Amino acid sequence: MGERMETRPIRRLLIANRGEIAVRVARCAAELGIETVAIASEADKNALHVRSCDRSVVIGPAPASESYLRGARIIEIAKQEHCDAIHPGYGFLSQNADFADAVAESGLIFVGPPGSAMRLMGDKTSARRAMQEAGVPVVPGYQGNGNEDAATLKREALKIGFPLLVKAAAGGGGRGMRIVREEKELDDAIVSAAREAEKAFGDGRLFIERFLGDAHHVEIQVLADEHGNCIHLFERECSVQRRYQKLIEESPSPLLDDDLRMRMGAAAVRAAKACGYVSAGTVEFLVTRDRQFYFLEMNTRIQVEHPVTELITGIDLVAQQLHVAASGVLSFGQDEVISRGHAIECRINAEDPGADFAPSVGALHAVRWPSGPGIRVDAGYSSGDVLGLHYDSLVAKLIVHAATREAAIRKMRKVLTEATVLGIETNAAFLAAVLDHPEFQRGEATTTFVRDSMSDWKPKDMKPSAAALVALALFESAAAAGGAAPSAGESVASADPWNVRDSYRVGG
Amino acid sequence: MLQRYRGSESEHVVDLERSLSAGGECGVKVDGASHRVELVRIEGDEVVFRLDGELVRARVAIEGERRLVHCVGQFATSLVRDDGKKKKRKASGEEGGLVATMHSQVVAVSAIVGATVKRGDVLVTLEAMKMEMRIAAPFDGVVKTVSCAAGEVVERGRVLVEIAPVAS
Repeated sequence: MGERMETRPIRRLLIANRGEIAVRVARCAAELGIETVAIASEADKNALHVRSCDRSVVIGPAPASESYLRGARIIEIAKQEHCDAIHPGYGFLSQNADFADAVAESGLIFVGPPGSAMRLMGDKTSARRAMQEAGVPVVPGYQGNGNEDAATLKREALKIGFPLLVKAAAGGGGRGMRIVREEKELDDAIVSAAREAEKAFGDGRLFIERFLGDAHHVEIQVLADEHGNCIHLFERECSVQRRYQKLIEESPSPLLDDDLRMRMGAAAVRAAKACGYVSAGTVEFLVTRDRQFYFLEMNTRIQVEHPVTELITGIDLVAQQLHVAASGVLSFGQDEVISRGHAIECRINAEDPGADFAPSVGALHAVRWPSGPGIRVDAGYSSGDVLGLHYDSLVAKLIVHAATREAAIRKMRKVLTEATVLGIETNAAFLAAVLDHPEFQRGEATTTFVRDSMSDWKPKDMKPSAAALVALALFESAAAAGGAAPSAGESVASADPWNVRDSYRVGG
Repeated sequence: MLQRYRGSESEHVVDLERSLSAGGECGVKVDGASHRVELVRIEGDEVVFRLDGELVRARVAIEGERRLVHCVGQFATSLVRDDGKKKKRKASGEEGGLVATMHSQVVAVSAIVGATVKRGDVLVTLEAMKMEMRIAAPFDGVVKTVSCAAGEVVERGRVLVEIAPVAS
């Protein structure tokens, strides 16, 4: 991968995010010799992402609307701090087209696609139309100009058949979306979806799609430059989801064969070109059991699960984003992208499986991440950090790479019991149960898997093991006998120098 | 040395014959069952020992009364130190006291003291980590007290609203 001239060199980068993705971007920037500026809410003043950057600026109170979502203020800070570029990470402002445009208009580089591409893909009806024109298969359905009356929608819905989805043009994350299983539910669904969409997005326009309930979620990673060069970096299978949140991602997908993989890759490249895409992006598809694929949407940003692709291709996607942003051109072609082995990612979330996965907050203690061949951990927190209410529940991503899917599952199964996070509850035991499930092991899990096949799961070992009880007794008795050893207090774990050494590990 | 711990569904007694230093060995009773323990070392928050000959590497944290432990190869457990006195756990929810299901921020309170509510009516909306939780009336009743306000941060288990059932 040869170096090219950087037409707009990035010497200093503002990272407009927090948590693991900010830490990961900071690490990549440091490798490239780029200085980093973190922004932090008051709650995050001493957060890991702040400690990972060269400097930091406190931007406002803890709620995101008063800190990480303050686009104008972020641009102002980037100017004051003499930054050349802004990396938005994922979430927050990453898919805000107005922010992307404002960054560019201020003379800074936005590390991501142009606002126009975000706008086209953000509107689900315009995206559907553009995909159809580009020859990318979309879920059979109907999209009009958005102003059709309920009678028109109903007539079209009857043509499509049931079950179907009534979806908001401006929608996302399941909002403004209704599953309609029979005709008599249709009128209600149209009215309530429009109302919800109007309320949530200020835009009540609707469209209709056939409901493909039992399908795999498979997405294609793409990279594009400003000169119309666009390549794909294979797929990620992300069917294991709870309430529309991905939990486990892997590549290759156990469903795809080479022919389908190449056809989907080519379709994703057409999709990206159709919207004038630049930088790293992801084209999401639903793939039915009979291997028909349909465009779902495009994520116009770096994604949480991008490390899976990095492990199978050996390509650092954030480094490529920075390279394209600085030079305008891709430094390699499709032929140079090769997939090797199998990678799996598990998202460790701060959730209490014993309380219906309610968010779990608190201070983290004794944090340790496993390491070894083929093990990568992207963490947003270390011992002593507090996981608060205001941000998402992602604590860390465990990613493994092995020669085969079986070996990767085996490796991940072990890694899940080696990572230590105390102070909050996590979903680690649930993730292990998914890995142990025959349906997952056969590679047959679809997006309904967690709901249908894991609903009976309970944290079965609510009772502590004898080993756990003895460990506590030994620790406490040594503390009582040793005098200098820890007394019952909050600082026991965080004061320990061992934690500092092992506090976090990224990259790899 | 007797230690008592309480889990979410169980109570436990660990009786360690004596306090051990590295290399030391003694008997230990866990909920009445006898085991042999040999301490390899305690280093910061890590405890390494053999239990009936099997090597265990555990990480431990103490937070107030909470006792948190993770044995490598298993999943973490959180317990509470128990002083041995029988404590009745606070009954919550049973008498019409609706409690916070998670540590969270109160987004909206629609319950008004004296108001009649129907089963399923949403009385309080909580939010944490972008997840919304609606606290609804478990039965038809009248709101007796409202002890939370929008914007407030509440602990898990905290009583938010009390309602009295209406005899039907």
